[in-house]
Amino acid sequence: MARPQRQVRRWSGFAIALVVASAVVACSGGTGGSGGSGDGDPNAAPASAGGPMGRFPDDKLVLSRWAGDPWTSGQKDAAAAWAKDTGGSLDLDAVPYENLHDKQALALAGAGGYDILYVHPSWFGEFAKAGYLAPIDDKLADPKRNPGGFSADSFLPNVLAQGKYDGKQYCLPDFVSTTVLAYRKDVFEKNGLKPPTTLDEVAADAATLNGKDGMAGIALPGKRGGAVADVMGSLLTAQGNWWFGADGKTTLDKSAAANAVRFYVQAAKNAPSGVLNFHVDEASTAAAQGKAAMIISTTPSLQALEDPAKSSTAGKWGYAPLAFTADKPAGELIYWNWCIAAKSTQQDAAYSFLQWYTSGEQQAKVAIAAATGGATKDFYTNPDVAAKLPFLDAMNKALTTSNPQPSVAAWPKAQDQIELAVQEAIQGKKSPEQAADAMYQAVSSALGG
Amino acid sequence: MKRWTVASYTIVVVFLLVVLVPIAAVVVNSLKVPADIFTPSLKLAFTPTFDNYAKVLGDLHFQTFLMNSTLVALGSTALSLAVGVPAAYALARLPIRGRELWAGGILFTRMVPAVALVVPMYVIFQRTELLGTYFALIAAHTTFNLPIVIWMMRSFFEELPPDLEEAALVDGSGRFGAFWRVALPLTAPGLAATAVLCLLFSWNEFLFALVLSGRDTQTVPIGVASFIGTVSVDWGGSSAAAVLALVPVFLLGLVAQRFLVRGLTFGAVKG
Repeated sequence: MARPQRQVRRWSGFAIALVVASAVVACSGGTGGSGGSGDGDPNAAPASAGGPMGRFPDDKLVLSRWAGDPWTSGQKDAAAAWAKDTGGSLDLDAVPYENLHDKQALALAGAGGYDILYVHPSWFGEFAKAGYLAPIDDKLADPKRNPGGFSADSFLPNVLAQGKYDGKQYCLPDFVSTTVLAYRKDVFEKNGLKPPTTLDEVAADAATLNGKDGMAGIALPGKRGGAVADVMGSLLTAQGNWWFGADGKTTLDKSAAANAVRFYVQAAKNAPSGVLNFHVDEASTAAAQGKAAMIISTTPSLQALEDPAKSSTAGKWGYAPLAFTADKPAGELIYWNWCIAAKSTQQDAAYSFLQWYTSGEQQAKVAIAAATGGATKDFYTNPDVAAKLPFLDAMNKALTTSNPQPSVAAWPKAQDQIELAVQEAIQGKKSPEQAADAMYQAVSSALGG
Repeated sequence: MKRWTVASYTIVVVFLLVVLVPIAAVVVNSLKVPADIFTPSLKLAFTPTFDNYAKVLGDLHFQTFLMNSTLVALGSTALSLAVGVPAAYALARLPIRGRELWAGGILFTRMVPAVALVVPMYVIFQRTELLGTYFALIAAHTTFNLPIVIWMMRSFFEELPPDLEEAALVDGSGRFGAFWRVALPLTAPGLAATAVLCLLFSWNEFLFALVLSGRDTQTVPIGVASFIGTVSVDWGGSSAAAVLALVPVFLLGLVAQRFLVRGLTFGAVKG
């Protein structure tokens, strides 16, 4: 019995040690909650030129956003810079994008825990309606809370309006982007083709170039995940149509939707194999590696084309907005909202970060790193940005006529049905007209008729 | 006989290829720069780099995720064993009324989808101000580890000849003494196998970790998933993170291999 007894002692000692260890560590660890007194001086002038307003030495903010992409690390730097100037602290709670809504909704419905949230358009309305977000009208209108010249007028009106609900301004936007066309200048020149100016020309050029030098004619997203609906949105806007009207009800024109699907199907015939599994990153990777003569995608993903670390075709791309009719470019208005949690006890400090981070100067830094646009007017006159983003001109043209996604909780489900209809049309399971009809039903159901 | 040998080897080789090729791809990608990962065709000749590991451990502090997972997995396993092993022994040996019903009820808790449990747990931990702590995750992981412990250990205890414990009782030992000094040592391999399974389940768990963890207590699966962005996937970084996540479990498997084989075959052949 001696050996088993030693084993028992060893095992029981190990088990007790683990229980004690777990009890000890259970007493530690972050709670994900916010702390701080909320005191401080929100009107204090910036500590350095161009720095954030206010001093918040006791405030400990927590910001919720998605993980991954170049933005997270860039935002950590911004958070550190804000903390250094204001004396507060700002931690990022970054979770995978797929789970962001649920995590935010749980936290906001409960005791809180977040001060600042990065809110997607499709759930902004849900959060605002539920009272999870704090209005910022007073702070935005208060000259003491903002640096000289900064106010609601500093923003592009149509973008700022997306952070408004029931007449109140809740959020400040950034991450402005849209879908554009990129084409290989060298390939077009070699084949005696002019840069396409209409989507009919894009489809024709894709057919002409498909298979030449081992390239597909065009790459574009085909996987359900949001990007197909983004492209569809741009194709609708380019025909003067949109998913919904001012009253929030469906305005989708089935013939315009069928036209858009028809273009999608035509383009997919000349896309790399497996296009139905292409999200924006797969499409841009294929294009960057010389496997496609053109690509339609969102501007942040097109950054990969110009990154020499990822692209063997950097510097060979030209950019154009999407247009069914020449000189009538259009796009979908893609953006995110920075919002303050209603339960935050540190709303002054949170606004300080929002104001500073969404300013044109800070957004220029983000844009160069991540290929998104800011939402302030001065961003678009910044020469550094224009020099670093070759597609800024095409993006600007596309945004002259643009529409935002509806901000209703049911939209992601409708979006998925829209993308399914496009996929089924590409696979030949539905005609463009049938796909358009399916879209209409989905959008109508989501928007309540 | 020879034909069977060749067939056996073929099956093993095919199985190993299916299992190991994805892991090898992850290891290889973790040593590549983006330009080598994003080649149109498979690129086997490349200059290895540890940049991805430097980024994952340096900038992104992946070691924090590893430490969190270690604490949570060990804590949950310890708690599950501490509660589950006596419960298993009781279900195996004590004359409990409705024993099979109790056992079935415990197994039923394992069948409830995690997604159905996570919201009530969120509310409970929030009201008790434990949300985001290690304890919340340890307790949550114990909900799925405990039934495993009880059911596995119960079968191990039932395989033991009752005579051994009865001899201990005749010698003056109490029921707890018989459990502690006789039954538990003899089922040590099974205990080890059960512990390893609990550690693995806890190490790989995603949903509870996502919802119940705070920014300082996120575990490895959340860390690995964090490399998938909205417009891009950091293949090099996620591969390096996956390798780092795999190493502790791989080492645990090597160390516990002897126990696993003995534990999982425990009582398979009766003398």
